Amino acid sequence: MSAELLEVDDLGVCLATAAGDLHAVDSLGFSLREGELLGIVGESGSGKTQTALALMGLTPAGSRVSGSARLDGQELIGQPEAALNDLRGDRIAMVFQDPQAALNPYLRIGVQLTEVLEQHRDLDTAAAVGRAVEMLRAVGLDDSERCMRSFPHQLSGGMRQRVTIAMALLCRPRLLIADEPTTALDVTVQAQILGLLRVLKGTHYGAGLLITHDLGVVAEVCDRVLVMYGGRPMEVADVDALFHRGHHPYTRALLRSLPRLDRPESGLVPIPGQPGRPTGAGCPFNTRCVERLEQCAAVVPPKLDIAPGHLSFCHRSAPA
Amino acid sequence: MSAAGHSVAAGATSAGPAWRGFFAQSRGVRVCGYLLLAIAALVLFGPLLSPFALDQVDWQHIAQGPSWSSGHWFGTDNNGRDLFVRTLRGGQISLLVGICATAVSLLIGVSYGAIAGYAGGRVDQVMMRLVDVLYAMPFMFFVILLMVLFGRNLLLMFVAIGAINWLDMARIVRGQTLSLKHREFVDAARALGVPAAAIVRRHIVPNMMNVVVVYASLAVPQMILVESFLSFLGLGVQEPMTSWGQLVSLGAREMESAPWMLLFPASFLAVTLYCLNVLGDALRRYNDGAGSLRGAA
Repeated sequence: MSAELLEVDDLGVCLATAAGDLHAVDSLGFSLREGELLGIVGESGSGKTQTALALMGLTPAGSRVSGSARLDGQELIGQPEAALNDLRGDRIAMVFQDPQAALNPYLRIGVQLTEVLEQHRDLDTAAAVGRAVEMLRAVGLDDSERCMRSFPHQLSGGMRQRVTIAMALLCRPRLLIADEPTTALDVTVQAQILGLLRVLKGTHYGAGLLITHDLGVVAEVCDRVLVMYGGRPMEVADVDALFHRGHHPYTRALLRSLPRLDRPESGLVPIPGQPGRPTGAGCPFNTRCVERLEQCAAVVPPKLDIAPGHLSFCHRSAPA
Repeated sequence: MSAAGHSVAAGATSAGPAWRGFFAQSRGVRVCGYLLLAIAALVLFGPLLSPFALDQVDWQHIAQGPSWSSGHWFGTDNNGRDLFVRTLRGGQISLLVGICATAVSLLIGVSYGAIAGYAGGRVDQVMMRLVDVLYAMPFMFFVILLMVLFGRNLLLMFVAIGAINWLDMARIVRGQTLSLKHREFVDAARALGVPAAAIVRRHIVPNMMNVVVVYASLAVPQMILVESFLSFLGLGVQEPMTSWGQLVSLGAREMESAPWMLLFPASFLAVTLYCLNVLGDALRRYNDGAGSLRGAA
């Protein structure tokens, strides 16, 4: 357990909203090993994106981040802006959901790529351009010289997302965070981008966090999965264990709500109700859980080891 | 409207240069564009055509009307100086003031507004309240005070007029910055470790240039007008240098005996201001059309 690339402990993100403080993320802990791709899954509002932003130091103004997150032993939470600027783009990088919005429409791709290198590496222009071209090839943009001269609107959606991935990986970061990188893309392009993230791991980045609401995406590329609901962790497990031996009622409810090719006649079982505002008391899923126990609304479920590397946060999982 | 908008959008996004789409908007825009070019060319090179110098007194022709034979195509003023040369040289100063003062107001306004908007919070509050306070000051009074204090220096006039007109620019730029700083590409730049100053310079400011350019194009005629007003009050450029405002001022005094002294500089001033305003307005419409279509696409 000593060679953890990222260790997150008791992470909390509290957003100041008009209706009072909102605990978007609450006592979240997980760790990431070298070469691992961890999927973070959850519905809208489950705190996935806020987790990513907290790690990047990009939470909105007026929010409070507590707890700790260490990248190779170095604390990320509560660092001054200058220290974060040295880390971001160099050792930790992020790919955003919508590549159209994540690229500056008024700057050529080449300028946006070399800007990162100028920031973090003391490269002269020729060397920076060379590195950027090389990186564009690595993400599968073969006509990279033309790409460098293009404006974002001259590229297709898939090409744009390749560019943002190239941009994030220019400095070979230790940790890559991808926040729903395929949501804005076509299904066929989606598969290519996911394949790319898999292929580049190890050579271009150390470990990755893939944030998604798509369990299919998780099954395809991730090694381990963290299921979140209402800002809290529900279950952490290897991909196989989660899909075949999912323990938490929420995980099983999510899986039941997916269409299955092998059992088309079984139909879909939706989860009743809507995600509510996290109250902080008890299990956030208790209002919608079909296996609710008495203590669920009052007591926060403890962390329980089901199997090695398989954690569940549910009163049902407790040994009777 | 939509048909016109479409051709505009096509002009802006196709391979052809955007200015072609801009000038294709209407004949009025094209006419004003050519007229302004003609005035600029005349003002720049016209004085070379005449044998007279700016301050050369022609004792034979004092306060004479326009005449081809005497070589005083616009006539002479009551000191016997050639009005053609003086009108065009005055135009040089007027246009220069318009452009330079706008540049000064752009420089101050854009940096000030972008910093206030991007910093946000208390910094923004303090900076914008200062703008409010300056807004409340009588602006002409300030220019006059500056001119009296520092003497009539041409360079100072650029700075004085520009430095007082940056307030609008600062407000516009701050508003744009507020809406731009929450765009995802700004977050993306932050996520790549780009520091705040570089984000403002390379990502925020270029993205609002369309709005700033429109405002600047409408500010140029405004600056020319301010300079004319100052010159009319006798606080503008120093003799023998002149400007359209000063010529109009002198001409107005001799309106009855020598109407050409008012007519020529006043027409140049009016036509130039009209063209600049039409072009600025067309630029705004072009920009709005292209912007809304781009947003809808």
